[in-house]
Amino acid sequence: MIRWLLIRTAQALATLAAALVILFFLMRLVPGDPVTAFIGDRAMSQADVQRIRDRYCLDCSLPHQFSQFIGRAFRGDLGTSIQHQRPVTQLMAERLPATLLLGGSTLFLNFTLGLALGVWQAVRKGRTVDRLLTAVSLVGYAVPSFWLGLILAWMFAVRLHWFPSSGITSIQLSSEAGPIETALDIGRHLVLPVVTLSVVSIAAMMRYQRNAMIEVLRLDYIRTARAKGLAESTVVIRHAWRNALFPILTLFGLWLPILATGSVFVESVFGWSGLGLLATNAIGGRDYPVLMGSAILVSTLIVLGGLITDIGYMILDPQVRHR
Amino acid sequence: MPRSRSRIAVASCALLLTSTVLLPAQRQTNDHGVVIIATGADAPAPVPTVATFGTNWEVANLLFLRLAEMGPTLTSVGDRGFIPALARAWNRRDSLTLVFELDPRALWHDGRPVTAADVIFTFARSQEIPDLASALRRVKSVSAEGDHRVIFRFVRFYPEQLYDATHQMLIMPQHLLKDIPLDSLPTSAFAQKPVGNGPFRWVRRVPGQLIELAAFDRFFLGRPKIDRVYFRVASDPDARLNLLLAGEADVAQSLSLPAEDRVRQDSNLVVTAVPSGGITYALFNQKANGDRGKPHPILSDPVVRRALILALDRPQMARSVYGGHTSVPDGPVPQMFAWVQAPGERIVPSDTARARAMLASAGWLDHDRDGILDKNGIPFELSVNTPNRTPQRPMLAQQMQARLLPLGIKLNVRLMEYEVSQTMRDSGQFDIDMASANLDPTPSGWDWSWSCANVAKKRQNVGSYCNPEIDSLLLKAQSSRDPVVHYRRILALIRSDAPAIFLSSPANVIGVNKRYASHPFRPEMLWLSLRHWSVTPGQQLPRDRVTSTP
Repeated sequence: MIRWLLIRTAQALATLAAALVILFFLMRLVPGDPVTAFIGDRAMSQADVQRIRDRYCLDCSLPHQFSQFIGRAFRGDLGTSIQHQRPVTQLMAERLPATLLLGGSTLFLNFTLGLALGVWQAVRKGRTVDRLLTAVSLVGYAVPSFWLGLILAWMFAVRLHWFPSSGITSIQLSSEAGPIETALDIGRHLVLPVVTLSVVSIAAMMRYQRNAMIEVLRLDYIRTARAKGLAESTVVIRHAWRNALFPILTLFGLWLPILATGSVFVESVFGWSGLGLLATNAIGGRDYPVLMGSAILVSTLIVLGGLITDIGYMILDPQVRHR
Repeated sequence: MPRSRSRIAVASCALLLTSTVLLPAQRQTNDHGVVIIATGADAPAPVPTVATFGTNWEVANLLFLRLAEMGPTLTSVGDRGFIPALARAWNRRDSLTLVFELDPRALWHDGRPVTAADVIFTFARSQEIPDLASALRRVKSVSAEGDHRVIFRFVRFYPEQLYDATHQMLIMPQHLLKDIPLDSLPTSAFAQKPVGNGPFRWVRRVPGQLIELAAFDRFFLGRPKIDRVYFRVASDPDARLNLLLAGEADVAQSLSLPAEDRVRQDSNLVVTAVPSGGITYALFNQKANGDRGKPHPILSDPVVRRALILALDRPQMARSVYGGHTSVPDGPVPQMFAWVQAPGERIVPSDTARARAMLASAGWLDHDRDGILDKNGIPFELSVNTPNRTPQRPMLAQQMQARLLPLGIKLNVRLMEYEVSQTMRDSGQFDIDMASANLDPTPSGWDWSWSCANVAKKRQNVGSYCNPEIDSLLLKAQSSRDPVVHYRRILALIRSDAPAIFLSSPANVIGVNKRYASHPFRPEMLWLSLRHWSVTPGQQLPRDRVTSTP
């Protein structure tokens, strides 16, 4: 098993390295120039433009730029943002907590509420509550997040003033505010973006989990378990749910990058200053250092997601473990 | 004794009542408060020479002062019309020497006095930045006579000497910056917590979220009535509008037409239009698309260019996109320096019949009867490169397309990412480019985009428009005591040569909370007058009573 784990980890690292090399060169093939984007509609002399180009080595050959990037990256230096003129690691460190909070809260809701509702529906298959939740989840799945975000902001922030429309904390939250006051304030700001992100993903999770559970609940070993007189909760939780988790495990691997990317649209509409927004602005601005920093993080999470899924399968499924 | 005790008790109760009831009431009737500005970008280094645009620059302008500010007329020429700032007075020794008397009361936020050495240091620093050095190229030297007298010497006489000496430089503290090299400044401790000399001092920045400034109690021109200024960062225009409508922000600028309508419907808000330095225009490429060695087969003919302009009802187009606060110029004239135009001058109204006749006279007729004009086998078909960063430019391009098609002119609107459009623009790969620019408050910058000297230079005269008389007039304007005559002649030439369709000089439309008794805005730098803002007594919100964050 350890040998398998080592081989799988080596494969993951090789995938990551290949992805980064490809991304580095692909980014530079995209039309557009980072300095042009940085300057915008403002007037700037050739001399100043050249000064910026020299500072970021934008006229150097691609292999030279790549070797510079790799050399720095191994020292933990991802370069300096062209748009922000600040170290990329600093920019990402500033925004990572906000993204982790948003992505983490969404994932947490998906894998608790979404799973629970899916299981609950499956064991009540065909009943009114199942049909109702199926309809609700289909509607939730069909609602575009960008529309939902705008509607929620308008309704609950602009009209009803129940929640703040934008930001992570209140502007006049005292610097001496205690942890509970701060947490409550952040929580109020978190509600609308998390609800916007979760409505679609919880609906999807419910659908997956319901179908997986229904499939498992039909199997002979479940009938046997019930025939043995086991309590229904034991049958559902211990015997059925474990086997119905495989598709969900795959989903977890696929959704892990949400932790780092959040949702660009939700971050934008709710002024949630996270990594997703940073990366999107960097794409528009051809801010190569920030783009590479984001690419490293997202690629790592994608590869890590795959690795975790594989390990999870091995733990849950004895067939995989013994293969 | 018991009686006197009871009197004391009554007196104490009365005092207590007064302090708990009357004092807050008194506080409520004062005109202090806070301003929360919804802004699109963060300000990680609001320091002069580092900050040149965006929120960085806006914050820097509240923290740091110039020697003098432009006056209400915004005239950049001559020595009159400027308002004292760090310099309480100025005079001329001769046509090449300006002497500024610094206000001895001026202080840095750390309590040190502002001195002539700071001005000299700022000028020296400016020389390290090519653009600033270029703007100050006609300043020969800056020297001091004592602590509070600064002498600017110029290489030659020109009408914008005072403008250059004042507008181009926010004065920086020598005692804090002399040991910080320019390249290290953006990431220095100073950039994280700048020490300025302006009406507001730095309090804190929460990255990506907000910037907080506080009124500087010892500001020598009078402590502002706005105790705190917050810049609330929200990159999305809808998020900024929501902040304003939800009452979480007090001001939001650059409102689109639909956003303006929503703000107007809110009884707590008022809409203000401030002249801006922005212009939007469709630039003609006078060289062949992608080949600057050849003339453009259609657009190199000035008759054709004039006909295109004449065929469009520009005021109607501009109004439909920008609303009623826009004006249509006949040249690169934003609202901010409309003074340069002759009084009462109006643009030539649209006349499609005349436009058609002009095109016919230039040989453009529908010979093959396919609905599109042609000449020598070349169809009248042009591409319009349109960046998609804002909705306004695509809307204008589509209107042009719709209005010119009935005349037999086919425009292919190519909507593209801003960065791609800029790259194509710089390399001359366009027929028509939907351009916009934010100009400095002076027409002397016209040489940038409209002079022969800058033809085909990247980001400058990319349309390759050249009329040597304009270059000559620009030179004359720069040494004349009355440059306006020359500027007006330049405008007449531009009108005749038609290098672009000038579509709009939009105003900056701002939504403001109604509780401010006065809220003046400055066109050249919106928040410069923030220190004159006040809240209508009795209309303060709870957040106007600032107690947090020292």
